Amino acid sequence: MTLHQMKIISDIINKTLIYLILSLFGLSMIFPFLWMLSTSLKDPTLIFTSSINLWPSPIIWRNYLEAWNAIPFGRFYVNSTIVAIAVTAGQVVTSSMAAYAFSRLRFPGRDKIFFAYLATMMIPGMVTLIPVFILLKTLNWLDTYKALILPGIFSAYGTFMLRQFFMTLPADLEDAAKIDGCSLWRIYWQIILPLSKPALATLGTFTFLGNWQSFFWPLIVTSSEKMKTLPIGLSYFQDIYTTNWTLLMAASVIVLAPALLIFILNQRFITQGIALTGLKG
Amino acid sequence: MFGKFHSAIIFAGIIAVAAMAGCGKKADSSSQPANPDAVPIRIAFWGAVEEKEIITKTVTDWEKNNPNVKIVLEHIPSGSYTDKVLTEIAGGNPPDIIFCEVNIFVTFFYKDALLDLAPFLAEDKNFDIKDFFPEVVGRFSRDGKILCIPRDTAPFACIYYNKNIFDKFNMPYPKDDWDMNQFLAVSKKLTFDENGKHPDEEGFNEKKIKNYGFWGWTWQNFVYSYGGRVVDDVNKPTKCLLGEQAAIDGVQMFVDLSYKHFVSPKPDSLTNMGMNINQLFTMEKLAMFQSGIWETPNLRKIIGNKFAWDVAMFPKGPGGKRGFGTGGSGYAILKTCKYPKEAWEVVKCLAGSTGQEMLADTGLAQPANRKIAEGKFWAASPKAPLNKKMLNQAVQYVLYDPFHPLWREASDKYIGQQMDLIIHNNIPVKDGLEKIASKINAILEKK
Repeated sequence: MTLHQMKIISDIINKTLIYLILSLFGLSMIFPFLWMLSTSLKDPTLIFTSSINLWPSPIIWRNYLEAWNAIPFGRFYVNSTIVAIAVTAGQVVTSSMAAYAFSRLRFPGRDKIFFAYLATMMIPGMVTLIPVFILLKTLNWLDTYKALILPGIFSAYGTFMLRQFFMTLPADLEDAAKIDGCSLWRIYWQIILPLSKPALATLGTFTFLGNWQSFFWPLIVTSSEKMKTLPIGLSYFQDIYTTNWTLLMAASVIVLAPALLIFILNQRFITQGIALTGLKG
Repeated sequence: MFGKFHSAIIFAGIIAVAAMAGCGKKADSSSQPANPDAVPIRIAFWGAVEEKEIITKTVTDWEKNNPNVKIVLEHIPSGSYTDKVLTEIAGGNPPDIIFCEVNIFVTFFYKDALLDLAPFLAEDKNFDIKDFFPEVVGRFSRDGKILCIPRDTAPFACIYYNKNIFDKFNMPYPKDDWDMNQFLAVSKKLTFDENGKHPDEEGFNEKKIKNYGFWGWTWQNFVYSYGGRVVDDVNKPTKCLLGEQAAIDGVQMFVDLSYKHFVSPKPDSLTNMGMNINQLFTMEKLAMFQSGIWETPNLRKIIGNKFAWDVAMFPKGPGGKRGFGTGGSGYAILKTCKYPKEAWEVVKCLAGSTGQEMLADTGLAQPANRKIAEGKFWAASPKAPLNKKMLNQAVQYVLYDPFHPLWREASDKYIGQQMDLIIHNNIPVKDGLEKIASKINAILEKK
């Protein structure tokens, strides 16, 4: 056996091992999702059996219909979509503008203001919960989209993350634009933003997912059925003492699907964004 | 390429603006022509889908005959109920009527949030609180005030049993007056391993049990049946009695069911099987289990006609002693309510016969109103379990959790943690209970 052949063989062994380990990890990650999918299609009496059986037999499609009809899913879907998209769009716009100012513009007290803003991340949400609630009540905004959206569209975290990213962009690009007579607004719009797509996509995806799953805030500020969001709807399948597993899992699949789609579509950007900024949600 | 990217951002921005513009109007949940002078009454409550429908139907029917009131229902998931309602109270946007479970009630009582309903009861000739089980009314009464009108009661007194399995072994069905010894003997006969051997027989393999005789979760019932108590006085707890011999004997019996008599699945083996008790029972791998009546709707649905089942009363302890932990719930009016008179009428409707009858019919909840509990929707109802009337007897033995502002917290923190060690047989029962007693006493001594 030549040295070359040995190298090839050891390469193959190495790769096999690595792929085996990765597959095992991957399987353990995906198992809960498979269980969810399989439970959502099972007969309620067949969920908990002594041997793990992922293939439902018979397949009960009816679970989805029942879950869909048990709560006003359509309305909750619309609400969740509006809230998640609006908060995401708002956060990407406000955070990127603030981050541009904090990273590129020069004005007195810039860094002090930035750190003060950053410090707000240290205050737990529970502390501001009741003051914000009182504020919304005074404005007569409770149980409206405003209460669901507006408090969420400013984010110290998003500003911080984008500022760090903008600082890595070469200043020469900007200088060149300035020499050509480009305005600040145009630099932000035509140079900074297009260069920051991975960071923006990462922020956007995490904000979207976070809001899509958000439970406590919508629960607190909404009271009518018309304003509720999907995670609140999901919790209706669990009562104090009993849980309707098949319906809960069917409903979970319905709720999870768009979030999964968003993640898959943006996956390339997200991994790039994480690698570039060293941050994740 | 840039154009595409920018138009995506602009599109998102437009949606955001549109969403905000569209939300100028407050969502209005009613489609009927509203009476402009109607008094708004907001009700906060929880409940699974079916229960929610019953409550909604009850109040909408009532609303039709009472156009002077506009009811706003606020359905809240049970897990976050207290948080949400407390936030609303703290934030100055409280509901008018709240649904109260017997322990959540204590929390709201100590927040001084509840309106005394005794004056309404004294005046109202159409509503007699004496129709209700006095034990349940007692829980909701404090210092001569009545702060909550009971809807249902839920003694943890049911032993659900599978008649099929009893028939197979030629055993008589359990009677409500059976005692702990008979109960243990029956449990052993209904437990067998893969060779068909029972726990007391030669060659029985406790690692290969095929069918279990019994499972229960209420260690309190065992404490009470052995003459023990959790505290000296439920209404004014000053001392925790879980460290005393009677309580130790009771919990020891509870633990022995798994580790000495092998009639109950151990907590670990349950986890390994990946099954919950309902599943074990409906798959006919468990002959009896103990719980409250609320399991019924689910069992009816899953068991269907597969096998016959019923409930019997939890067995008497040594010397015929009895005692059951209990749940239950009712409706209270908050002090901040602007229209207490109208709210009182709504509470009467909620705790009134129509809603209680419909709820009783589903099997979910035992009416707190004795007349309904003794009527055709409960005691005389032909639906399984047939022996529901047993629960009307059980109410006299119920023992509520101690009435103390810190009880729920202390119980989660100390009792839950030590009990977990005890039921996993990691520490001796005596040590665990004494530890609980000393921790709880420290809390009770603080004024």
